[in-house]
Amino acid sequence: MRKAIAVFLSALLSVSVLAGCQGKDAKETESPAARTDSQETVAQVGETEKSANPEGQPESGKHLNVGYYQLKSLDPGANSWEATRVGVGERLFKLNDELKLEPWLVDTYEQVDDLTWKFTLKDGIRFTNGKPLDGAAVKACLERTIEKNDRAVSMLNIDTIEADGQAITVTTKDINAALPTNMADMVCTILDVETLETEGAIPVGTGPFVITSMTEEVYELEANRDYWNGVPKLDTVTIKIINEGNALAMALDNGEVDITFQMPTENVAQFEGRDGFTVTKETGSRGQTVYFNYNSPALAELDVRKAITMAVDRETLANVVNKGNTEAATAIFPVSFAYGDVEGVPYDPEGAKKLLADAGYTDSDGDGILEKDGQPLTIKFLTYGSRGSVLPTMCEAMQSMLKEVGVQIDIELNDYDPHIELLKKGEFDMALNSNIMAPVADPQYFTDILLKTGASYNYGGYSNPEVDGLIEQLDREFDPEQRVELAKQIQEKVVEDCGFLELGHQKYQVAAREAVTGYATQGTELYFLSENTDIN
Amino acid sequence: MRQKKRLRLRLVLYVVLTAGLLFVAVFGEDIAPHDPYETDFMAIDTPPNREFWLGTDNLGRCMFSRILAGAGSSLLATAAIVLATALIGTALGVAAGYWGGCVDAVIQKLLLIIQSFPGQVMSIAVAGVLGAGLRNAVLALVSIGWVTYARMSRSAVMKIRNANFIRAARLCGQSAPEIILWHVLPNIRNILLITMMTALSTTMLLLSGLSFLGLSSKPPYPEWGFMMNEGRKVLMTAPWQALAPGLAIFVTVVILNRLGDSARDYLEFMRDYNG
Repeated sequence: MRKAIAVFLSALLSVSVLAGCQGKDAKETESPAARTDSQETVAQVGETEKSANPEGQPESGKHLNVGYYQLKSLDPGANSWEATRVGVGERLFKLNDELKLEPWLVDTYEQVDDLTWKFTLKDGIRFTNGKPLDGAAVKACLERTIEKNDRAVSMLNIDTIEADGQAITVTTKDINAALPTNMADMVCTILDVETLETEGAIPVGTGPFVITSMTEEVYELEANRDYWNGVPKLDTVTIKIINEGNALAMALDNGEVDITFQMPTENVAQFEGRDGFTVTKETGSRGQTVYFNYNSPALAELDVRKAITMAVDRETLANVVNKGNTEAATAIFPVSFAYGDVEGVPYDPEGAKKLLADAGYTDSDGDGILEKDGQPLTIKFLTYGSRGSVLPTMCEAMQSMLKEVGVQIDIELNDYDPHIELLKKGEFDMALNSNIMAPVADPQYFTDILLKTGASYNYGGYSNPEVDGLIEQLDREFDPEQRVELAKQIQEKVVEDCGFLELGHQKYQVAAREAVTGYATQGTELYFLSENTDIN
Repeated sequence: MRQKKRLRLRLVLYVVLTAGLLFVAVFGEDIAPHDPYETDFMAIDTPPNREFWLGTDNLGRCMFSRILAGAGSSLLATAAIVLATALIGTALGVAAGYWGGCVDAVIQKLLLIIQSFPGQVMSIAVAGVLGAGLRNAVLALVSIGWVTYARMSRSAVMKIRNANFIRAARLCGQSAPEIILWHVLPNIRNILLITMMTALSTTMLLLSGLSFLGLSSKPPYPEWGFMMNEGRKVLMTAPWQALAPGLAIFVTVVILNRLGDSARDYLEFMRDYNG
């Protein structure tokens, strides 16, 4: 009873706190309105509208409230994707709706020779603090990112950068056929280096929005009136960071925010098919990859890895356990991608049992778990996240599927950082990770960092010289069709080796109020807010 | 006389209910209608119905069966914590109270150190450092729980340390352990029993709290606090997944709490009645 009262009181308290917040928001958005005369009239119109419409829009014009799951940094050097997502930073290239490469800050580009590329920037673009965007500014930012972020090193493989007016000339250490494509990745987010290097400064880019204040919980953004590519439709944006799935869903439900970014799948479900809300689902390349540790004796055997692969019903995981929010995988990349359609190892639990029996595993003590030389086939399976979220649920489902064929799985749950530390130390038998595999829709990046011998994400120690050779060819191949062919061959080899077990690819979901339009839903997760984002 | 009868009846009622809980704890898995570990992908997130009384979870496992199966670990761990804390705490408290001096000083300092940390935070820290697992959660709660018993038994023993019957025993040549066992402990038995009984429910809550935070038990083992945490994510779409284990914790804690209260009332009444 005392508990019930406590719950009631705390609910009351939080309601009143929230009410207080909203009052404050309204005031804050009011103040920038008094800047010019024309805006004041807009504000008045807004006010009359408000009295007619109780839900109303804030007085200062169009305002959007965004619920963000996590927003720690905007620094591409710290591997942050967020500067572009919130509409502050832009990149040299972008991917359009068909996932085709388009110049963005770049005007024209050409390949001088195998190792040299020349990019010319658009004229007249300025950072929102007034500094011009020229070759020197881009060079400074790229060099800083390369120094701080290993991802930039492997994706760009840049040797030198020379700036001359609006032109930059880049030489790569090796042939890097995917260089322009990879320049659409977060590593090529261009921000004013000075604002990144200064402690406590607000990062400044060339995008449609300017951050006016930022704290750990709230970011306030204002439109960039001098934006080079048209006038942003929104006037102000408030980003609230709510890193608890239920709270984020509640905020969208009660109108505290209009749109959410990266709401956990299990929370999106309640908005599907509801009046007034839009849920978009795009096939993306966020894959759930199971690592096998080649240093654990049982998993070094191909037959064991293959039996495990055969015993896991990926279709059921995708369509039932994850309720259709995953696309089941066959090889490594999403099956809907041109280079992802590769035949995989089929689901066949009986075959898996036979394979294990042939490899010498028998259940000698009748406990349902197979043994070989007195050692039970017990596998330490690591993943991260909280219980009930996608990865741990997948692990538990696999645990029960593998029990059917006599393999015991011990699941160990950690937070993300300690999880990765354990993987780096090799203290696991199997591990489940979630990664965006083709951030710029191209296969080179992930084959480079996952499948190559000694690659940075290759925690399990997978190594096949043939695969290494094919990856090297892929890095150097310019013809798009040949690249698709090579990517397929690489995956066929990996499937043959059962080097990794790819469960499926998560669909990218955005839940928003119907009134919000013009936000990015692209499965690459590269973009979110832009000059076209609007609220009616 | 009538009051005595009433108190005894109440005590008997809660003893019977507690026995029921113990029965479930020991035989939970055997009386469960389904296999608590069997996943059924065709029955994921089924609301409560005739086949699954409390619905199913995100892998199609029967919630009711899982709650029955989880009763064992929750209740036995609670019992283990209460017994261990009582043993350790009483031993140290009696030692401090009986011998006094240097022994007392050392134990007093130890008590002060542990008491200066908030209990729950301390247990979370200990469980966090030791790593997830039911055994570690038990260790964490034992490491802070013994303080209550030590403090209480110390002051109880100090009160009778110089009483005439203890002096008499000493003059008769009884050794210190004998005196503690035959004369000191029987005199603080009641107050100890009452403390243990009332500690059952709070310990159960603390343990559920730890496991809610993910600091006890590993998947797929059904632990009530853990199941609640899991269900919290789908509170809007499948509320039974959090409510069912919550209800189990609630009922158990209420029964244990009332058991403690009834025992205290009965024993106190008997003492006044006899004395």
